[in-house]
Amino acid sequence: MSRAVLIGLGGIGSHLAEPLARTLVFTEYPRAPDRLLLIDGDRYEEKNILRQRVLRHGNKAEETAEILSGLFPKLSVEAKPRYVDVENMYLFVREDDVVFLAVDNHATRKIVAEHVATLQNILFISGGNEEYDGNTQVHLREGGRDRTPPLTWQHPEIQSPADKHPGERACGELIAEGSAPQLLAVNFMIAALMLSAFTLWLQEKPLSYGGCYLNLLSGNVRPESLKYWNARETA
Amino acid sequence: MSEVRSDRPVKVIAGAETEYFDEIEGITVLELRDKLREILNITPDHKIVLVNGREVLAGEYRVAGGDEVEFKKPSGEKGV
Repeated sequence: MSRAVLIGLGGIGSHLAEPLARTLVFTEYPRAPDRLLLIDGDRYEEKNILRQRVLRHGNKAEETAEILSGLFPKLSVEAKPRYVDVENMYLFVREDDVVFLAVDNHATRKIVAEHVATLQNILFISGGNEEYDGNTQVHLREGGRDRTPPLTWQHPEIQSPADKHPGERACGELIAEGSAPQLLAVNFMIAALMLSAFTLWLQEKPLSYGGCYLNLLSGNVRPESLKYWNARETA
Repeated sequence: MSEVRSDRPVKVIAGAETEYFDEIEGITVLELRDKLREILNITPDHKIVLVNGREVLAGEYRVAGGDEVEFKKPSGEKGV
């Protein structure tokens, strides 16, 4: 039995969680995971209410699991109130999982990306944004081969992150980073693009792009072509 | 930049934006970046430059007709 694993229940993850759970419950695709694991070591704060549903300012994974369990009682939902790190990664992400990564730091992206690279079969979808723009990356591994690019390909900011893992950041650093402006609309659109890629995979449609870039100001969404990746593979 | 008339325009990509230009053949990618910085919102964070899918040195490569130049946008870092 495969699982959907959602890492990060903040601005993007919180908008992805319910439609993801709804998709898992009400679709009948053979590939659909039948369990959902939510992972986040962070707690909700009052300011989060601007963009997210907040119950009691508790742990984000646990509160989201509570909401989803109420909405979808037949779905197996589990919460881990932890940050993923190199030591627990192998417990949280396993063979045949579908992983959605909605975190705010490249250090965690690298940890997850490096672990994913050790697995034979996995769908790994990452999303992130700045104030008015953002992007998704879709990494599909089948039979130990990369069908689409890994997160680190042509992304040195992930290969060699300059930021810190949240478990290593001081309180002042976390507060400063949390004050950076974000828009609910951009979070929501990135979540939708992540769900879109997952939907195509569920339907066993071939993935024709390695992710998408979007820009709220211009209204543009551009898929990342796989033509150079595929040419590299056959060269 | 003038309206595209060439049958081999240069395609320039930065994030979600794609534009086509002609009459820019022969300039370096570095010069191209300076010209298009505001049009395509290219920032110093766009460290990787790809021409036809291959990484190039911005100060050395001179653009040719039909090239696809991408100023690779780093992955968005926020989202929580």
